[in-house]
Amino acid sequence: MSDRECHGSRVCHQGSCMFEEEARAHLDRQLAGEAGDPDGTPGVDAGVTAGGEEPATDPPPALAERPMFMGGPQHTGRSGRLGPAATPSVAWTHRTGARVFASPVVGPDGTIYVGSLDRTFRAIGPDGSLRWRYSGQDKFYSSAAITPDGTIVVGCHDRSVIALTAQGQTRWRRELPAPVDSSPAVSDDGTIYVTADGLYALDPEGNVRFHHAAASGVRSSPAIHPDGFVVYGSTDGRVVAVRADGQLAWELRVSSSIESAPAIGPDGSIYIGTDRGQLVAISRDGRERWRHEVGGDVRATPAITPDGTIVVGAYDRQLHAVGADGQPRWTLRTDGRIRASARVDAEGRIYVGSQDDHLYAVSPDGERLWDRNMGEDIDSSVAFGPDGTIYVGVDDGGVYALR
Amino acid sequence: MRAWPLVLALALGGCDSCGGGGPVPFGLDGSAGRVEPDEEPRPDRTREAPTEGRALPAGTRRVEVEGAPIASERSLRALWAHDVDGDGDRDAILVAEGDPAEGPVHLLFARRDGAQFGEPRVLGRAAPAGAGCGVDEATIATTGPWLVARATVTCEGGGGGGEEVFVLSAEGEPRVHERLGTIATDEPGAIRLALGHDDVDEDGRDDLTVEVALTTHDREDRLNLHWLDRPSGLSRQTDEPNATLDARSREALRALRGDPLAAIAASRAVLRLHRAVCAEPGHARLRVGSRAGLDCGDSEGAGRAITTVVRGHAARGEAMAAIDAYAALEDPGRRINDERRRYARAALASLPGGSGLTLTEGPPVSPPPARDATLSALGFLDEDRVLVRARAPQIWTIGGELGPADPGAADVRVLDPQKRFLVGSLESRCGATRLRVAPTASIAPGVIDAEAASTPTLYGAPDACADAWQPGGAGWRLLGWAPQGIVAAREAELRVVPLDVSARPTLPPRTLDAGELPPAPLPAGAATLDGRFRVELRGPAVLLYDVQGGAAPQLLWPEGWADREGTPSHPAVSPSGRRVAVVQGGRVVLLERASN
Repeated sequence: MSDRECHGSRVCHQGSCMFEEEARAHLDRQLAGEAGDPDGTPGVDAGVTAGGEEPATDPPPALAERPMFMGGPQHTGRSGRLGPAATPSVAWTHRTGARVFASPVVGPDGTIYVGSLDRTFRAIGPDGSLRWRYSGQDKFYSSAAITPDGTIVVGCHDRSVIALTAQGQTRWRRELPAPVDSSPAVSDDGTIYVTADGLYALDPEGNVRFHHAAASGVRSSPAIHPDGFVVYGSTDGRVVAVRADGQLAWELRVSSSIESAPAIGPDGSIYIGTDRGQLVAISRDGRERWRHEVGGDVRATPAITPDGTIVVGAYDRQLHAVGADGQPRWTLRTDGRIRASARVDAEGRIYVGSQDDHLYAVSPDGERLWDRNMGEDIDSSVAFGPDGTIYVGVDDGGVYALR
Repeated sequence: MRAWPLVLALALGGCDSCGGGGPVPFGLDGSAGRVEPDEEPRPDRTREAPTEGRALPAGTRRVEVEGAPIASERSLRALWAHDVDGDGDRDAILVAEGDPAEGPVHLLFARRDGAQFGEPRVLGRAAPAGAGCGVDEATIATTGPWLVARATVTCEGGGGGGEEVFVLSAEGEPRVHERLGTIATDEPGAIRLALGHDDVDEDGRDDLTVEVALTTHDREDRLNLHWLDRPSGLSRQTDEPNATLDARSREALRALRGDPLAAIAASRAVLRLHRAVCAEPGHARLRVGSRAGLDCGDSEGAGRAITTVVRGHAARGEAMAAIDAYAALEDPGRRINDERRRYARAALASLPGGSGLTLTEGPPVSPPPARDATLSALGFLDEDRVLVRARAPQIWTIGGELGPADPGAADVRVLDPQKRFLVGSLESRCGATRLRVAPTASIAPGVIDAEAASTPTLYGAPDACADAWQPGGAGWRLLGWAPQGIVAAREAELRVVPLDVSARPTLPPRTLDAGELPPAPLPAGAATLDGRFRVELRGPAVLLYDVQGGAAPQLLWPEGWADREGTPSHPAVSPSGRRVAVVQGGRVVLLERASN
């Protein structure tokens, strides 16, 4: 990695992107033998809390697979469906013209919806056939979400959010001031949250309910907290929580660019990765609980297993499992950086792709169950079909069905 | 003659008030050209007429001739003063700007009586033009025995305009003998008229000659038209331009055997001139009177020329160019007889046949007429079955028989996926094309409720001109209404008109980039469901486009194709792109490639 791969004024330090002052502080700590201490790290700003609530005492409701990024608005990555327990075969490949960076989502009828960097967004039948294709004006990095009324909503790099019917017709198209590369989250009342130059809330007709501005473009996909606020990370080093009325709930400076999306744990804690190679745990009222250092950027979105373990891949080529207390549980080494977010099936099996071209299945204990060479980098997360098939996008432009 | 010293003195005095809007004190500062008297001077021939008038700046509303003013509400752009009625004082002929709706150029005559001019009367007007058209410059000068007034008209936005030319006599009672002009069009190249005089019919009287010069790229083509001077006025010699076109096309044909490239070039020059000066092709750039183009009838020269073009390209192995020319063989204004058709077909037959291409005759069918706003009557349901959208729809299983199809399958209309809207027609003007879209609920059989129709733009700038919309798609053919919107094709270009669930535009229409797949699915017909392959017809030629195979289409031209009767219609392509079906001679004909 070089400085050019780091955003803004960040520099490359020991394989991670960080601000210059952070790099100096890190060096100082290394010299003092403090590097890697995730708790109470000197110099980390305290979180700014606004309108914090008493922590909930009841566990969150059982998570179900929702057709949106990471299986639902809380981004746990968990699914009520099963994936393959043994090395699957390729059932079919649907070819697009360029990399498939976005993660597929599966609709109620089994149709798979996914965008490609060839500027198309597609509906693919369970047999791999094309149902319809939408030709966009720029790339699709965003994963789609399906609203309660069946509308498919997706962001596009052409600075728009597009709402399509299940037949592929356009309901509406909302232009925004910045590219929409993040994935929408949809609340139970149908409000659509996306990030672009900040956080937008759109009503089901695409009208803007509010815009909470950010200083620069945001690529972190918003997550909806059970407490009613929406949280995302920013490239200027903040985790931002915004209430449903558009007002700031709190923000926490983590002093490192964030592309990862947040995930919400069963106790309401928020977990998010940073470009500085850290997994950060934040309480529901915006206070940092701990940081876990890994050896490379964490750009994937953490997944939460049924027992509350946080699983996330990093640019250090490893899949990391960390307990809710911040203690490391296990790591799985691959031969490539991990940009994709892990998904977890109903039996706790973890599925994640790596830039070593392999798709991995891992047991809850971190044992490699199987891996399959897909031929090219995998940055997309898998989606679970109702029949045990998993779907994933690959950098060769293919959308693969594996069972 | 007594006026000459005064004229000379005034001319030498110069003009010191020639700014816009100010009086022009003399109006005669052009050289008082000496006119050599004829051996037998004609009573109507002026000896003292100036050869050139004076151009006036835009906005001039008042001029003076020897102190006598002429005022006008119109902007005066040129002045020619001469004693046309022989009463000893100079009268004036003027070019004035007019209301474009009445004609942007007016030719005026103001008779002078003593110290005053009478109210100018209009001798002639240019044809009405669109708003924003005005005179750029104007001149008046003599050409032989006539006075020629010219004005260049330009229009805002670039469309319209041209040159207006009035040929008039300026003795006694001035009158316009002929009005000519050039028409600004989108056609390439520039057209110029050069007026002169010559005794064409050798009757001792000068006749009017008009040289039409057409400049295209680095080439200039010319021909001469003549108006003979008769006691009643000017009479156009009607054997032109056909005589010239005929002679030059014969010359080109003679060159065909030895130098087909030169024969093609010479023939194309004939066709360009024919198109520019004759009314029949519909693209005339010469105006005579109020008509665009001359009545040339069916031109032998143009017919011979286009046949030579077909033969020349075929001789050079240039299949697509030969086919394009063949497709234009019987365009309006060309005399094509059976012999020329035979020569043209023979030329195409000499083209190399497509290797690995097989032809299979299918069953007889009676599809509806092909229209640019409807689907093809044929559509592949899969690799082996072809739907025939006829009054009684049928399915042809390749290698088998015709069987019945669902009655609903007969619909050739372009409908949205929900079947709530349809495209009624395409219409075009000034390079723009738009669709007429209406709710299906508003349609009585064969009639579209005009109030209910919307008109999304398919191509171009619909407000570029105020001409009436004309039916027709200007070469655009609808491939279908995908969920994202309507997809249309014209040669290598694919275009999308994005429409929402209510058939309202969501984005401006756009042309897809090379290699970009269109929105899908498309209905079975001239394109595959996924839009990757599509087939287009150009005369007898069947062209297969592969979006992922580059811009150039593959010509499907099996052995003996040129000899087949009937022009193919209703193209369809199979999902793999290997099979293409057309209707020809009342039957389904299948063309099959060995491989993609």
